[in-house]
Amino acid sequence: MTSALVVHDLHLAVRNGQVLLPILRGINLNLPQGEIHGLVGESGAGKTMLGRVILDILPPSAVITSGNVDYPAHRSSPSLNRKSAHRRRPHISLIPQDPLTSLNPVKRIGKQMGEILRLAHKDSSQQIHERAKQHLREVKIRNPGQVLQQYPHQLSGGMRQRVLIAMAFSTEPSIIIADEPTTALDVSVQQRVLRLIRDLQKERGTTILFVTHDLGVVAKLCDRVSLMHSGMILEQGKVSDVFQSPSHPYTRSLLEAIPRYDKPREKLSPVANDLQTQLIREADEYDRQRRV
Amino acid sequence: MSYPYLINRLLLALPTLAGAVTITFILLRVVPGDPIAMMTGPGATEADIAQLRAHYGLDQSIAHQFVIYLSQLITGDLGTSISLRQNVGELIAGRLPVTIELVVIAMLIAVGFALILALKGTFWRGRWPERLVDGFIGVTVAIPDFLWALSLILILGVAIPIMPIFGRMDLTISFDSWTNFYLTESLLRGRFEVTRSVLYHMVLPAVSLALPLMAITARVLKSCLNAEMNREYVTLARTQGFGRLKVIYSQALRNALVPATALSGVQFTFLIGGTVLVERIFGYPGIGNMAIDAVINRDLPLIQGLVLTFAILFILVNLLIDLFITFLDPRLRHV
Repeated sequence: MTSALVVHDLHLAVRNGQVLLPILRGINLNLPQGEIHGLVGESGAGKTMLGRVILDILPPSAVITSGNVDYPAHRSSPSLNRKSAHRRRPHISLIPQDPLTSLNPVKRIGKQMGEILRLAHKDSSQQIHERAKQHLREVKIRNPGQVLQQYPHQLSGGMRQRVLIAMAFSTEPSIIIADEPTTALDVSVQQRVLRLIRDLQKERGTTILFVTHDLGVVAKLCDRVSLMHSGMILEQGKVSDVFQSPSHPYTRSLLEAIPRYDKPREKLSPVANDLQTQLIREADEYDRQRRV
Repeated sequence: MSYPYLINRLLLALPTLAGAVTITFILLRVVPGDPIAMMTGPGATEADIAQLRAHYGLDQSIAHQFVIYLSQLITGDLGTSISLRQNVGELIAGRLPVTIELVVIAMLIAVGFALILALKGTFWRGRWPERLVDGFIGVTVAIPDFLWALSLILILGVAIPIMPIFGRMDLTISFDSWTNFYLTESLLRGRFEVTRSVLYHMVLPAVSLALPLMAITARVLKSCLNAEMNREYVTLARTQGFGRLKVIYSQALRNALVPATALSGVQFTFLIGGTVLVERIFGYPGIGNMAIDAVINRDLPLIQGLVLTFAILFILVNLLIDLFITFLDPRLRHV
C-alpha cells in the first residue's frame, strides 16, 4: 500500500541566541494509508514538535537542519515549498490536546465551523450550515442546531472535544495529527471520544498519527507504535510485538510503569533515573558525532 | 445587554458626580485667590468690593453658599460666570461641541493607527521590522501631548509654514452655526468649504492629542495580541488553513481587544484632560481653553460647571468602554 506520510531522517533544532539546540535527532516514520500510528514519549521527547513539523506550523525559532517530510499518496499538486521541509502537502488536520482552550472563545460554534468549511467549499451560507450540522451529527451530538448557536464556554469539555473532532474531519483530511486528544478529559468521556475517533477513521480510511503518553490507549487504538525519547525513536513496530516483546529497556520500563488497579499493593515503578541519564547521554553523543 | 444594567450603571454614577461637585466646591473656596480682587481694578473702594461680594453671594459662609449652589444645580442652573457675566450652562454648551469634535477626531486617529501598528508588529513577530515598530511606539509614548503640539508648531507652522496653528477655522469664512458642532453641521448643510477649513485647523491639535494615546493603545494591544497568538485556538486555526495575517485579524484580534480596551480605555478619559493644554497652545476655542481662563480669573461658578462637565464626560466614556467590552466577549454577557 502507498504511504500517506513519510518522515525521512528529520533533524530539527531551536535557535536560542547564537546556539542551535537539537530537538529532533533523525526521525524516520512511514505511515501507510489508513494506519493509526501511536507516538509515545514523555514530556520533552519532541512529540509535539514532530506533529508541528508535519502540520507546517513550526514556531519561527525552529529550524529544520536536515531531512524532509513527504506524502507519497499525494503526488497531485507539484508545488514545492522551499521554506519548509514539505513537498506536496495534502490537507492535514489537528485534533488538539486541550478542548477548553482550542476553540475561539468569542465566536459561536456555527461561525467557527463555517469559517473552516468556507475555506474548503464554495457553498451558500445555508449549505454551509447544513454541512456543519451533518458533521456534528457524525460525532454523535444530538442537538446540532442548538450547539451551532452556542459559544464554546456554554459547552462541556467532552462536547467541545467532539466539536473539535468534527472540525478536524470536516475538511476531509487524508492525515490527522491527534495530539493527546483525551488527556484533558475524564476517563468515562475518554473512552467515548476514542471510539468516536476510531469509528470515523475506519469509515474514511484516514491516516492518524496519535500522539500520547498513555500506553493503554495505544494498545486499544493503534496499529503500530513508535517510542520516542530525547528526539530519537527508540523502538518502532506493531503494537502487539512491541508490547509482548519490547526490545528496548526504555520500552520495558515504560510498560512496567503503568499502575495497575488490580494490584493496589504493588509499588509504583517510575522509569529509573539512571536509564533517563543514559538516554540523555546517548543523545549528546549523537549530537557530537553529527557535528564532527 | 439589558436596560436594568444600564439604568443601574447610570444611578451608580450619581454618587460619583455628587462627590466631584462637593470636593471641587470646598477646594475652590479653601485655596487662596479672590475672584472679586481679580475683577476689580486697583482703585476700587472697600465699599465697592463688599457690594460685589454680596452680589455674588460670596459674603455668606461656605456651607450656606453650598446649599444655594445645590438648590440651583437641581433646577439645572449652573450659575453666572463672574468674569464673563453670562450663564455658565450656556457658556459650556457653546464650547463643549468644539472639544467633543476635536477629541473624537483625535480618538479616531489614535485608534486607527494603533490598530495598524499593533497588527503589523504582530505580523512581523520575531523579525527585525517588529523592533522598528516597538522603537517607534517607545519613542512616541515618551513624549507628552503638549510637547508634540509645540514641536508640530515649530516644524509645520514655523519652519515649513504649511499648516494653520491658531483657531478653529479661517476667520474670513462666515458660518452661522446653530449647534457649534461645526464639522458635523457644515457637512450636513453642505457647506464643504467650512468643513475643509475646520479639518485643516484641526490636524495639528488632533495629531498632538492622538500621538501619545496611539502609542499607549498600540503597545497594550500589541502585547495582548502577542499573548493571543500563543493560544491554542490560534495554532489550531493555522492548521485549518487560515493565513498568517488572517489568523491575526479574524481570530486573535477580537480576543485581544477585550483586555486591550479595558487597559487603554482609561487613557481615553485622559484625552479629555489633555485638551486643556493642547487647546490652549493652539488657541482652540473649546472647554479646555475656557478652563484655563476660568482658573486664572478665579471664576468659581465657571470652574465648578466645567469640573461637573468633565466628570460627566469621564463617566460616559467609561460606560461606553464597558459596553464595548461586553459586546466583544460573550462570556461577560451571560452572567
